[in-house]
Amino acid sequence: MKPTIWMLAFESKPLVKIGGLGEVPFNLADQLSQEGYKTYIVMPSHGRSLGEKPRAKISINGVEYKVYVLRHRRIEYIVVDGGALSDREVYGPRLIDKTVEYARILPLLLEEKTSLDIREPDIIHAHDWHSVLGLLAVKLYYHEKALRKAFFYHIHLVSKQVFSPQTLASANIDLDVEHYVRFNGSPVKITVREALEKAQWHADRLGGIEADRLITVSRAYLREDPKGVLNTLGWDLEAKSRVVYNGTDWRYPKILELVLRQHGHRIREYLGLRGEEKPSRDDLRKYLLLKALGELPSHEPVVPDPRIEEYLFEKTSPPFHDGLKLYPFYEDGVLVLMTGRISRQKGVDMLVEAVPWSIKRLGDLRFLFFLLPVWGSRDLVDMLLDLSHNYPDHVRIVFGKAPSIYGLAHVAGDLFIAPSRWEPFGIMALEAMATGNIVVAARTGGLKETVLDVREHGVKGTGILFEPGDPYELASSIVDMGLIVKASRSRFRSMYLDMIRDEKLRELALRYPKLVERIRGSGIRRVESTFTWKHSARMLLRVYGEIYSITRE
Amino acid sequence: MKTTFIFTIHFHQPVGQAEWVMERIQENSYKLLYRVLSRHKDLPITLHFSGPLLETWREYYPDFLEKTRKLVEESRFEVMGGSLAESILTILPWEDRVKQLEMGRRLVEETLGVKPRGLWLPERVWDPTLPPVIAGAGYEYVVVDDTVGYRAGLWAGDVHRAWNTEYDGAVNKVLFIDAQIRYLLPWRSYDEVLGYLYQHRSPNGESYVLWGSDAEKFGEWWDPGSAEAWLNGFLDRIRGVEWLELETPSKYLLKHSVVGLVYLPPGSYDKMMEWSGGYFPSFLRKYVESNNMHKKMLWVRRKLVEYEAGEEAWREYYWSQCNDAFWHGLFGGIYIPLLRQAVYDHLIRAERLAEEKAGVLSKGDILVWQEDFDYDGWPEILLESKTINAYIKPRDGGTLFELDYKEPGREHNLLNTMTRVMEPYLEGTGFKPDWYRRTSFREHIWRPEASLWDWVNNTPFVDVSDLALAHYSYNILEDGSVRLSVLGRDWSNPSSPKRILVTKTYRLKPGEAGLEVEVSWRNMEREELTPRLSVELTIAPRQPTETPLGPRYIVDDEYVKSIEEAHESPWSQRVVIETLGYPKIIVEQDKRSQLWVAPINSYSRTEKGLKTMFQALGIVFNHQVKLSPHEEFKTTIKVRVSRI
Repeated sequence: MKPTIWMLAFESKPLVKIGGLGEVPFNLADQLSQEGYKTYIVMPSHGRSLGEKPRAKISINGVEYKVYVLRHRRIEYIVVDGGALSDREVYGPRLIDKTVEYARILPLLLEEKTSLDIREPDIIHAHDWHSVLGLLAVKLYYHEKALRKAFFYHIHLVSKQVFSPQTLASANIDLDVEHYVRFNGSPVKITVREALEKAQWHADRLGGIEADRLITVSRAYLREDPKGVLNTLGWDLEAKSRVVYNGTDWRYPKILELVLRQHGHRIREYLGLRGEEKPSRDDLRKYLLLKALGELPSHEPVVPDPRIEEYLFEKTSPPFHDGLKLYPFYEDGVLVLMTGRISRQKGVDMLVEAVPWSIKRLGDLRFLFFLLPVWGSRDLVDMLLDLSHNYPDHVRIVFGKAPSIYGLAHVAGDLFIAPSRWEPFGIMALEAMATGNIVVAARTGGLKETVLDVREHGVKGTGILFEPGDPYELASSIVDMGLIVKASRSRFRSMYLDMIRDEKLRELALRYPKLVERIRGSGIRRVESTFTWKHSARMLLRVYGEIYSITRE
Repeated sequence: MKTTFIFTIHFHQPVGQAEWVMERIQENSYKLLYRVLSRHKDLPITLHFSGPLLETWREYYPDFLEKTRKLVEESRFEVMGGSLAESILTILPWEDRVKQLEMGRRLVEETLGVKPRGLWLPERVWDPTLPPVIAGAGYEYVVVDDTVGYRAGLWAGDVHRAWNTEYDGAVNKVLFIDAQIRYLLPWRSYDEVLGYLYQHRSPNGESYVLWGSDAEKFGEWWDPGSAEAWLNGFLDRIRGVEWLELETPSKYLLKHSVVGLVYLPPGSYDKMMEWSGGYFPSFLRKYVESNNMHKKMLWVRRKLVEYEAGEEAWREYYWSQCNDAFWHGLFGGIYIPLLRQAVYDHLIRAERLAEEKAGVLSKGDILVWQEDFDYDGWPEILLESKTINAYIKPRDGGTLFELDYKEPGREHNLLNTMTRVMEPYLEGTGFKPDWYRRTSFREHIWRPEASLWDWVNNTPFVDVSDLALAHYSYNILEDGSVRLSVLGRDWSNPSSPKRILVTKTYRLKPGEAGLEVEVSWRNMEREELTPRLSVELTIAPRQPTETPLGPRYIVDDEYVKSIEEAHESPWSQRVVIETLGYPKIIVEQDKRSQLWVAPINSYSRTEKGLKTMFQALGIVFNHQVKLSPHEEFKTTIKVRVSRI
């Protein structure tokens, strides 16, 4: 029988998705369950209403937790609500309480497996530091029962979080229990306290020590990035470390079909297209920039965090109206997209510096950002607001989620920027490539594996890479690529090509009149061939197999 | 012991000189000098006639030119050569320097029938890289100012001798003009002049004193009667002085040759050094208009080369290089609109001829260039149709800084305007220099109480916005229009500036001799705003060279005004500028508004106070508006040249 898998995660589609992390447990679980592996995702409710009756109620120290078991596609979600786990702010000030309570409750879930009607795991796969205590709690639970299970710790983003012995104790983890950890290939018996000391209290390192395999999302993030996994956690974890790429289920025809279903008749009406005439990418862009952007449905954009929403409401003025609604652009142009969480890691501050520089050189640029604001990044939110207020002809920022135009923006986009200072994987770049956007990405982490620089790969390239942390390099790359796009649809082609600074790019653009189409196509093909979730699940199964075959013996 | 005296009279009139001024100088000065020189043709006097003057004589005074040629032929005079257009060589492309000197030389040979051996450097602006050019054009020697020699480390005695100078293997002989005697002759008594010359006696007269200055001092600067008497008397007087030997430079060099080798730094006469800040090209930095003409010249040159232009186009181009319009000392120069006008006329003509030959702009075509036209590191946008060039500077308020009308025979830059800078002689006069370049389509937000005179005279802080000097971003639309935008602020309340998005679209209509500009203002606050929005234009009327009668303007077909008068009206939309014999220039808004029109005058200080000189006509459309949040206000202004 195929093993049962428990994924421990703090966010997952479709229940709670803040950043890229929310995609991974869901998509891996989805693929694994399609391949016949019974897969559960165990997560806090974060106060989301689940609309069903709880399957069990568990009380710890007088706090009552409700346990829901929900099914989405073939995945089962075990969602725990109550105490700190109900705090609506996913990564808010009560985060440590959440991780502690999460760890406390997991052994009880296993105890209640019968009443909950869930299967016991053979493989426990924890995602990021929030679930490290949970992993440890489950491990000790089975240790006590002398049952061997396979444990995997999956890092999507290295954190600086530390756990004190008191934190572990408050999670009901016995620090003096002797248990096995795998070090340099062989099991070593140590106490939890020793493991914690060995980890120097560092949450991610503790996860790496306790797990049988440490997984991360790209080779560069594992080995090369100064802020990557081994450079931060220690090279003594190298032997047990593996890479599993993220994937995307985004496919151009699928997204386009979805967009046309959503917007088709309005696009046709707006552009005066006749009959069954399909709108071109240019048509979609004009419709988005000049029309759809100004007609978000009443509930959009959705800001998951009400505090920051209120904060923003106070501060916006045109091109915002009625809070976070937007006026459309006044003029068509080269559409530059960015998506993601608002953080320094994502390079938001560099972007703010790069935009004014870029538009002085190419006034055709139209920046459209879909950015998730969080309370802790108010300084960056303020910078973005200023940017948007000061460049209303060139910048629109969707603060929060706007699913009604998110896909549209991707199939209409020209450039997609990923200015991250470091980026373990960068799934947003895959989504962008999958939908035919030319990616301008920092040469860092996963981005430098997923994005192929056209200057090195010619027309097989999918974008351009620039030195991370340098806003002028970023701006220059945006402008150069923007010029190539502009040239591709202007009768003043040679004037724009002459303005390209990078000689290699200029040469390429001169040599390939259809360079833009070629790059778009290369991006779409690259994602289809290498970055599907099916592909990721296969990589993961190979990693599971290294341990699971051992534990079955 | 004797003094060699080299007496060199330099005759010059700039390209574009008004015909009535030329006529006056011809009568007062040149005819006077002809009479004096005829009387003293047995003396070895040295003369230089500039290319533009010879060309004017050839065209307008052929008899006088013929008489002069005969006089030279019969005389002991030495005639020096120069550049064709009396151009400052150091600001010209290398090939043009050579060409200017070769053509200048040929012009002297053709008109006066002599082969010059020496070069009169325009404004005596010397540059150490010149020797190959000068030698290449067949000149043996050149005269420069003694200040240049002193700056090279020569002593007082040294600058009264001839020297060799070298660059890149080419050698010129150099003689120095004596600065001190220019302050004596012809202003002081004969005795004082002779006293000065006496001090420079040397064995065999190997030391010389070279007087080299403007012919116009005799009769134009100084009244003709006194000047003629003084000069005749002086030349009579020196005949009898035994220690004084009048000689030409060639003769001097034959007798005494040079004393050695010297390397001279860039320089000119003392005053020029002062005005230019030590280096002539600095004028291009001091006067943006000078730079504009210069860079237009370089731009046209590129076209002439690329389009393989014919001789006529090149000849127009070379005439544009006359120096007078590119600089300013105490009088005139770049402040004389006619001189700048002539530079543009020649350049636009050269450009049109080249375009016609290459067939690059047929009716209906619009070409767009993004070029760093003025070499300031940022691109300008150049729009071109068969009849119009419109140059836009995003970095300077997104303004229009050149508008060329290219119709054959009517070439004119409607933006041949002039920005008034603080000249040293204006300090303490109450004059307030322009704080922005006087070009067109500049936006302001005026304080409610601001008046026409506040605008014209640069009262500080009456413009409460930061729009006038804003750096616009721009994009080029597929029909060849240019759309610029910037977010400006109304700082009326400094603690709470109000955001206003301004977009401007410049559009050339194919086949139309004009330009249309749509200006939009959008309130980007979430409150109502009531700004006083304004679009400023500065237009250079066509200035006639034939008559001192200036242009006039007519507001709304109703109020006829001289360009020297201002006009204010609460509810107007149209200004027509008329110059006799030239098509009308029409400035028209699509709606009525408050209108200010006023001459933009420059000032020069005279004994009787500040004297004004008309530069261009300022036109301002003011709109008092009320804008709800995100509401837009639009106005469209056309500038066009009517068919006659």
